[in-house]
Amino acid sequence: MIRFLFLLALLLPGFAAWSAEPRIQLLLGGDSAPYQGFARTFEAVAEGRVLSGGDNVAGTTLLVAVGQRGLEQALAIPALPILAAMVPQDEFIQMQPRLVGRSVSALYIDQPWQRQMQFIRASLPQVKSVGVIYTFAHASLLPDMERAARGTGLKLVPAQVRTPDTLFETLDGVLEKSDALLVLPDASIYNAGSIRNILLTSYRRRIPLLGVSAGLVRAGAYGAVYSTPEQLARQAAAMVANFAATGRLPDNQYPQQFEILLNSQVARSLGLDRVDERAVRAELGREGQP
Amino acid sequence: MNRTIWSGILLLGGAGTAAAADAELDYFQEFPVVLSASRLSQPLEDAPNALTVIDRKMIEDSGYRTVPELMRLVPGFYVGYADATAPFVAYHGTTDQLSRRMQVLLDGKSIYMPPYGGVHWAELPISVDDIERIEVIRGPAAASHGANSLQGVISITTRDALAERGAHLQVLGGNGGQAETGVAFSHSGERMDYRLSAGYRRDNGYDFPVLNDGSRTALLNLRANYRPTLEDTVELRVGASDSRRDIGIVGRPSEPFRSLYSNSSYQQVDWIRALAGGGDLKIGYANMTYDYWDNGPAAIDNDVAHIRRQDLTLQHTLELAQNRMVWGGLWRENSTDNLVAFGQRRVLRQAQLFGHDEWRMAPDWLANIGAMLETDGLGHTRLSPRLALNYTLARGQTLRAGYSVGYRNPVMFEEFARTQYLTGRPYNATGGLIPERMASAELGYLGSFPSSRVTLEGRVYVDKLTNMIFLDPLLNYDFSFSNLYGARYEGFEGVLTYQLNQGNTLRMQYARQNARCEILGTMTFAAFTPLLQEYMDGCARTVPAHSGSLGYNATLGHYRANATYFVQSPVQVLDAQEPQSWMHRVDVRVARPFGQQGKAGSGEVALVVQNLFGDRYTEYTNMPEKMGFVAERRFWLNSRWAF
Repeated sequence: MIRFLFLLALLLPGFAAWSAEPRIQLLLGGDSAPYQGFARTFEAVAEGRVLSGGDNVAGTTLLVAVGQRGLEQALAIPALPILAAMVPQDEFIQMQPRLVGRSVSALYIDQPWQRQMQFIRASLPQVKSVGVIYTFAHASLLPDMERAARGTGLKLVPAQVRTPDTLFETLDGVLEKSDALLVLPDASIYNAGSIRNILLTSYRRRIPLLGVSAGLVRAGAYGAVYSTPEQLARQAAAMVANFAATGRLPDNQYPQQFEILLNSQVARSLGLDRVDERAVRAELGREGQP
Repeated sequence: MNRTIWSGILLLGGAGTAAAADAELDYFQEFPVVLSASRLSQPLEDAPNALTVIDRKMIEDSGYRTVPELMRLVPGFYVGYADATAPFVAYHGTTDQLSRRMQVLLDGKSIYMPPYGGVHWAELPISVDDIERIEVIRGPAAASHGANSLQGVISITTRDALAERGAHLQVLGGNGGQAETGVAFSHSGERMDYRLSAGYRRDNGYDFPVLNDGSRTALLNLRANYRPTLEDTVELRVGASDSRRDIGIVGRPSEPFRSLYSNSSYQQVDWIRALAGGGDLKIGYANMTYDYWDNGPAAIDNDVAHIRRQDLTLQHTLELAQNRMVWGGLWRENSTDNLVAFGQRRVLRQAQLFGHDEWRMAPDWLANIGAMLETDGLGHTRLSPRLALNYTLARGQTLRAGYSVGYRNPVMFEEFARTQYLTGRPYNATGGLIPERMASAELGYLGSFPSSRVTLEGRVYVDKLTNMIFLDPLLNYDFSFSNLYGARYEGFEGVLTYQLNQGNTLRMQYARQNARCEILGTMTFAAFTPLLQEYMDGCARTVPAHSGSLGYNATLGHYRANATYFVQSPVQVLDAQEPQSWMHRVDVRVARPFGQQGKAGSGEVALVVQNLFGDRYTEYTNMPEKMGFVAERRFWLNSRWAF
């Protein structure tokens, strides 16, 4: 029977080295579409390894936490190693004090800043300065962003939004000095309610928006580079395979696979040269992943 | 995901308080489609016509306070003044001050009103500060803009709440009794935003004693947007104005000095739904009214009119792989209650169906194909097709060839007039008019050279008009109208802009025009034919052979200055008594902004002088009593403040 299972395991890609270990508990931070998408792909790739049942299922050897709340749940379970997937890097770093003594590795949801900047360079070659508005909560991202921008030859124009009613004033100030606007995944600034005003204001000034989600591109942003929950799930599974082989969780890592989406109608309307998505992807692939 | 937009703790970044504990969801937010197909403006190089865009910056730099004055910035346009407060604009010639062959749209609704056609510029319920941009299509655009777009389309888009935040106050004072004040207030929320504007403008008219041409208008308008769901937007626009315009001419018993009191209003509702796949659907209703009362003794009783237009529109925009298509329809009802002009209430119902496709045939070739089918309410149905081909010569350079056909429907007055004034020539229209027809061919070029900061555009065109409607005197000297003549306009237009550096730009425009007319129909009474022939001979003078301008925008320290020189060779509108002399006119503006733009307490003060050197060129004189009507220098000081 075991031999049969072993042969079956050989047929599953990436899991040739596995036996029945590790036994994984998947802790989702929510039940909306992104988490479901992650779970479906992860469970398909790690077939049989994911235990079902309530908290603290006996025999678990690895916790895979999806999202911040998932990580919170994982921390409540003592002693087990944790793979925290789909967590924003700055949130993860802020949680470091609480992770002391635990073996925790992260798969970030954010794209590395170099890739983000290279994406801007490749899809908008004529852009020299990139504006970004942020709240205090995301201020810690600035240094890495600036370093990556400098490395790609772009000038970053940052501005902090200090109070809600200064949002548009700050935005205007930044748009004045930028060729493009980089949208941060900050729902306190960019949300369904404010996005209309932000898109129309920047469109009026002929400034393209670059974002982190396909939804934003459909709304009217020029382009985005992002990773889907499915792609993250596959990478998480590979990290787990690594853990199974070496007994140690790999280092914190950024997404390796990503999607690119460009809005050709917005590009045309803004008078931007037509850029081929495949060419941009090739450009990003060539630069390698940090 | 239930998330409030802001939390105070979040902002202050309180120690130990992270962002909402599922920050990764910020990467997966659902957004409404904001820049949908119909909201994305077509880039100039893809446009099927010659298009001039007068944006907010141009409006502010010019300092002009009326739309007709802004039309001086469009090559080939003629701006005439019947009196100080009765301007009219025309493109490629006009027969009189009503300029019936141009379509004028305010946020998509035609303000070219029955029963005479023409636009009541002085009484519009909007001020120039309420305008975001004006797009002028030079050439017939019937296939996309419907009836009366024979010579072109002036499309005015008003500002919405996003344009300026907070409250603004404007105060202006100038010579000739010019005074203006306006307040505007905007508010933006998650689901709803609005902009409210109120204003008052007054002008005592020119010093020319022959004309009684003062005017005063109070106006109010509101523009509100409501977004009930991610896909839907409801736009509401309402406006009203109350106006008194002085009219009358010394020496003309049928035109004594008196006043015309009028009320204009519009109410417009549009519902726009973003569709999956990038298109959208728009359904709209607009109601426009214009009521006036002329208490001159020339009428049997007071000349009172209630004029109304109702439009119901549908427009569907869709995006396919290589095509962007728009199609839709319009149902319109025009009604006029003006007994002294018509003897009875008159109603005209019209319908339009249109379709337009922008087809990217190949990376360098774009075809614009469109057609409009319309009824004129008098039993005639017409099809107006249009074809344009745009070819990308090189990066930033486009060549355009186009051909289009359009029609102008007879206005109520031309078809139904039965005037009952006590003095002056009576009008007794015999009816039976058919729509005027225009066929136009053009070749255009658009070039943009970012490295040298130059843009260049030019076009050559030939317009052929047939079935043109003109006065047809009856045996008892009453006036009727018939389709009597044809005309041919040809010429060249060009615009060059050069940006020396940030804050200093040069703009030059030039138009060369040539016109010819010939009799094509038969008058009711052949004896009058020589009279008509005289007008036909004068047709060549209805367009200036040369017209143009040279303007410079400069930034000098804290000041912004603008000077424009306008030149126009002699032109004589068809019903004018004498030709207008050469016009050499210089308009200047000097402005001093202060405070931090966009913040409360900021503002600007500007001095504008029109006709700085007092060139005494003759204006439009359609009556012998108005001979000697010469341009005057006008100036004003305008200030704007933000709160």
